Amino acid sequence: MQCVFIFAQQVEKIIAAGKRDIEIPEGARVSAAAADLIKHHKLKIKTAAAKSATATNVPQTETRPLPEQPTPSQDTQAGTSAKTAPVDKPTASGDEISDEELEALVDRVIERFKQIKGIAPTPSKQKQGAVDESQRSAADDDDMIICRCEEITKGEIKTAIRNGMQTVNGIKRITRAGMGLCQGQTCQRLVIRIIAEELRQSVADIEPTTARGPVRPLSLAVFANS
Amino acid sequence: MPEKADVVIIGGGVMGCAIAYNLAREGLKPVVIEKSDIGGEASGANGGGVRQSARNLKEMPLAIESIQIYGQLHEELGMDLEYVREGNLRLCTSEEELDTMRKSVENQKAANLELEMLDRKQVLSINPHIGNKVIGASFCLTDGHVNPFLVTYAFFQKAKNLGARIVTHEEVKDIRLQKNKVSAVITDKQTFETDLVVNAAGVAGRKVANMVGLDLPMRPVFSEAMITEPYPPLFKQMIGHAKGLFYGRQTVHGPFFWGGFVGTEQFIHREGKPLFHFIGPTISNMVIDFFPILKDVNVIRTWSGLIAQISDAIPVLGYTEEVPGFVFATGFSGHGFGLAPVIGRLIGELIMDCQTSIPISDFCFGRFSKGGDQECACQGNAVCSTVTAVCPNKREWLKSI
Repeated sequence: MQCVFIFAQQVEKIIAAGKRDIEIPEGARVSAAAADLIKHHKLKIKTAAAKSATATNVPQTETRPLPEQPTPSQDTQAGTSAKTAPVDKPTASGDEISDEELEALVDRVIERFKQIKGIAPTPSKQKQGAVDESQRSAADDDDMIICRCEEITKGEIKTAIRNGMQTVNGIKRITRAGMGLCQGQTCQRLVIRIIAEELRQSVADIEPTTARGPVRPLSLAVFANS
Repeated sequence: MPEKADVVIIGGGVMGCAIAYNLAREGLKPVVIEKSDIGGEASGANGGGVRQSARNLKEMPLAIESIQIYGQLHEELGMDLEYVREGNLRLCTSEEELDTMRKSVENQKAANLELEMLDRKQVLSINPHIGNKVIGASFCLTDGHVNPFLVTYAFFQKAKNLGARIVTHEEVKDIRLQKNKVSAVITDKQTFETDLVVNAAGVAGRKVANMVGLDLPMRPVFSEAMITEPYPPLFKQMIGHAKGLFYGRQTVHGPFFWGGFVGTEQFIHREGKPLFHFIGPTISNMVIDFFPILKDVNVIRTWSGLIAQISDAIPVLGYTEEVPGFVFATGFSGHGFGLAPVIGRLIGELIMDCQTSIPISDFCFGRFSKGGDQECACQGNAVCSTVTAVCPNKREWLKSI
């Protein structure tokens, strides 16, 4: 999944900043909500590469690889593999990120990499002094989209957990994470991971959401005759 | 050293949370015990219909009051609940259904509900997507639907903020009686000393009643539902079938919710939450029959839940003579969600003041005392609720401490 995502939140930020145009790298995938916002606010679309790729005609389901363009988000993906959370970190384009942000991002990737490899202790095992540090960096990615179908952020999921929801099913009911078209096939593992981090439990101890059919979306007409 | 609790509410569904909210608002410190997450059973699996029409007439005063509360509930609880009050169509497909519906509408009008019978033309003017089969419907403009998860969550949050203690992932194992009065609730992890227990355990209500030596004519009825992918806004009404065979709505997010019955549900219950291969297709067939426009919409999930069905299909509410300190708020028989705010308020009043602003005598446990269902034996729930030995009158108690 070598792709840049454009989410409604980023578009909102651009609108809030008073800009009238939006830069979309070629091959970027624009979420439906973001496309609606762009249309609604009549933002001008600038494409980063020469070829045209507008917000409205980029099909959501199609995956197009990016041209060789060393954006920070690609670095993130390469460094962490599809398993880890920072994959979804939305970045509109490589130009908009400052040097400090880039540095912080790289630091976080390295830290995460070490955790996965078991070189550094995971945040859950760190002592009180280090917790502040992990909380600070955790707060930074609260706006990361976890559930792509319903555009639910990590922050929303963490709030639900802190308000008392301790299961994937409970979080799903409150936040809608996992209620979309893919029924949590993308985000469920990430949600479990966030619960594990928040509740200081092992990922293996957290029950997945109740398995339910149909496995893939099935039209009513087909379902009726099954 | 066991903890002391003013009131222990067994069941953290919408009823338990609504009761806890109303008690916490009055200054009590209730404890809610829930075996899974908040809204883990029926409150997390239901259709979210908020209706008055097609109810048992005994429930009508409660339902009408409930709709009033729902109108301002989002302000009271400080959360958007996705409440839509755009009416409820109960569709008829045959003259026979139409006749029954006409009589039922007359009875409901007599019970102060505003609703009307519509012919096919009028139905189409309200909902132009309805298929050829439908020849008429009843329409109640003040009915609607709501997001059931958010209502439960909002009651839970508000109750918690007002001082209620919500204990999740803990199961009540026993209720200890002393001189036949409630004295403690024992969970798998701890013990709460209390003189007042509310049975808001929904489908587990019978099990909880058994803990104090009472039994309810209740059984779990299986129910299955499905949700589709999002679709552009099509209609806002709640949809029902004259015989209750299927029901549904379009949620504010776009997906359609459809639930339905094949007729054998009360006999096919088994442990866990299974799905049966014949129910989903049956519901789909009915949906396509009534809304042909939806035939290509994708179903993305089906699920099941259990209905706490009482023999006479109305809930059991209030105190009982047999066990002082034990309060029923269970057995809503599949149509309790719409009543939740009013039940929370009434049980709150009952516990605080030993009386309710709307009589609940029709729902007392005493109606089963001679075996069958009958009119309640206690006069206006008097024996069940106002005898001081039975009702601790928590408002007086609060003043005394």
